[in-house]
Amino acid sequence: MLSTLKKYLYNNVYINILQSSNNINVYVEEISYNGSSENFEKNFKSSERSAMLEFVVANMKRSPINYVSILDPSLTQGAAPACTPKEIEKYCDLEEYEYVCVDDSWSYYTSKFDLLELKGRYNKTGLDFVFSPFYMLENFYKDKVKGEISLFILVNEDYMSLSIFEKSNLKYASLLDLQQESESDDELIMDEDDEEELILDEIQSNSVDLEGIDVDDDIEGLDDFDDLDDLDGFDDLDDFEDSEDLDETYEDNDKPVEDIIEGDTFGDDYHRFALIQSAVNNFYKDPKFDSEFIQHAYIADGISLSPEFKRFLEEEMFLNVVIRKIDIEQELCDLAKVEKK
Amino acid sequence: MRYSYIKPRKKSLLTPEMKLLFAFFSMSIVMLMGTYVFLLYKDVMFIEDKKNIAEKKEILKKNIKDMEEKIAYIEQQNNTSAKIFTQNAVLKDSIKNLFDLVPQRITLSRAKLLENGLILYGITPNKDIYNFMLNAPLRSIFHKTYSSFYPADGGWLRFVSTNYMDDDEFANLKVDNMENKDE
Repeated sequence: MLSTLKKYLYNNVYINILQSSNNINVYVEEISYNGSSENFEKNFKSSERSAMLEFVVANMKRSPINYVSILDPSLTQGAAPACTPKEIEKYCDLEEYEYVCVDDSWSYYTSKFDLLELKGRYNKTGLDFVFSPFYMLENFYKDKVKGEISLFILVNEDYMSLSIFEKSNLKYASLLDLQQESESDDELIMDEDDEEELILDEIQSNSVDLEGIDVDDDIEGLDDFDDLDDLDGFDDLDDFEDSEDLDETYEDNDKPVEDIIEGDTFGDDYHRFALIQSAVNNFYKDPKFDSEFIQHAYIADGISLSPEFKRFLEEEMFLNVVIRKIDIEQELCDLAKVEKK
Repeated sequence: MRYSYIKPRKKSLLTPEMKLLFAFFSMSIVMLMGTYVFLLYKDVMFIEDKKNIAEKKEILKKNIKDMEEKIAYIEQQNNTSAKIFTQNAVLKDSIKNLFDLVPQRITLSRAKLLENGLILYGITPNKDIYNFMLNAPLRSIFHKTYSSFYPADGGWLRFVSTNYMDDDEFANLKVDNMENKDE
């Protein structure tokens, strides 16, 4: 009865915070009892932290039934293909990490210290939900993770959460910090004279060493590797391009490479590509992981990637790439709505 | 479902506005309840008073009835006393008239007043004195007169005079006497 009263008396206000090193985006959605919703968004610079907190507090006052959600910004978070504490211990120290198990199959974790620090940072407003980007990614591509082994990447401003799923089972996960190595990469890419040469060197050094892959002959799925011959013709890719998923990809692939190189985002996109390549290489090489050749990559694009990013993945890593735009704040809001129930 | 690292905080419905609203409604309800209880009390008291007044009314009615009965009785007593007084007055007048009728030479020894008659006992020197001086006025008053004589010492005669009036005449006379007395 009380819940019914609450439902009719107050609207549900979901305040979703997405913070990065430069910006903090606050997305507010207010849902009334009849299901109609009102939403708005406001962007703050990192320096406008107090203004952001005031904005959140002001929106919290709209209704006592308010939920403040945030996407975990911790760079120490990760995911593990295990659900029992004993197995998870192989990936993180459970005394220092908090973890959540998903479907008794895999789990994601984050540092308890970072969580406390995050709670302290939002002490003025309080937090109701802290979601992992790994779970968001899995939830976003829920229809795809059930299929054959594929690479899933959530591209955020500061980091990328990379995970490899096969039939809903997590095989590998890694959080790729874009901030950490940006300075060195900037130096590498912005060298005017040897720019393209250095790029090629970088690609070669990070390229996937297919010979180094541990091939398990017992895995039936590897029979499909015979199809790799087809990659020479790229005929199948035509079919792929006709698929519905491709409608979501960028269509300006015909733009000359030179033009892209001159673009501002090229360096960042290449850096992202390099990190992904390195992570996938690690998956292939590390005997800890039961690796198989990955043919498909599903990218959840939260920052508007350039078409070159897709081209890098397709041409350098032989991946069928599907890029689907994701509004991370809205996705966060959807997770909060489900979690609230 | 728990996919968040932390649990959501408990949501309280008691916002300052709601507190004010609840305070207002609570006060209103308390006042309404107070008024209701007061009216209920007054209603009970009114019914009680009404019952008491009805009982008092019944008692008063009964008292009035008793009083009326007493008044009627007193009036009856009054009438009776007046009647007796009248009768006594009539009797007194009758006795006075009777003694006025008796001449000095005749001595009455006994007189018996009846409802519609008079019996006189006495002594007379002789019959003539009796007949002329006493019997004559008696005959004018009464319709039937009987006289008996017995010899006494010294030649005197003892007499018994019995006198009656007719019933109708007696009634008329009685009424006349009453009217005269009332006047």
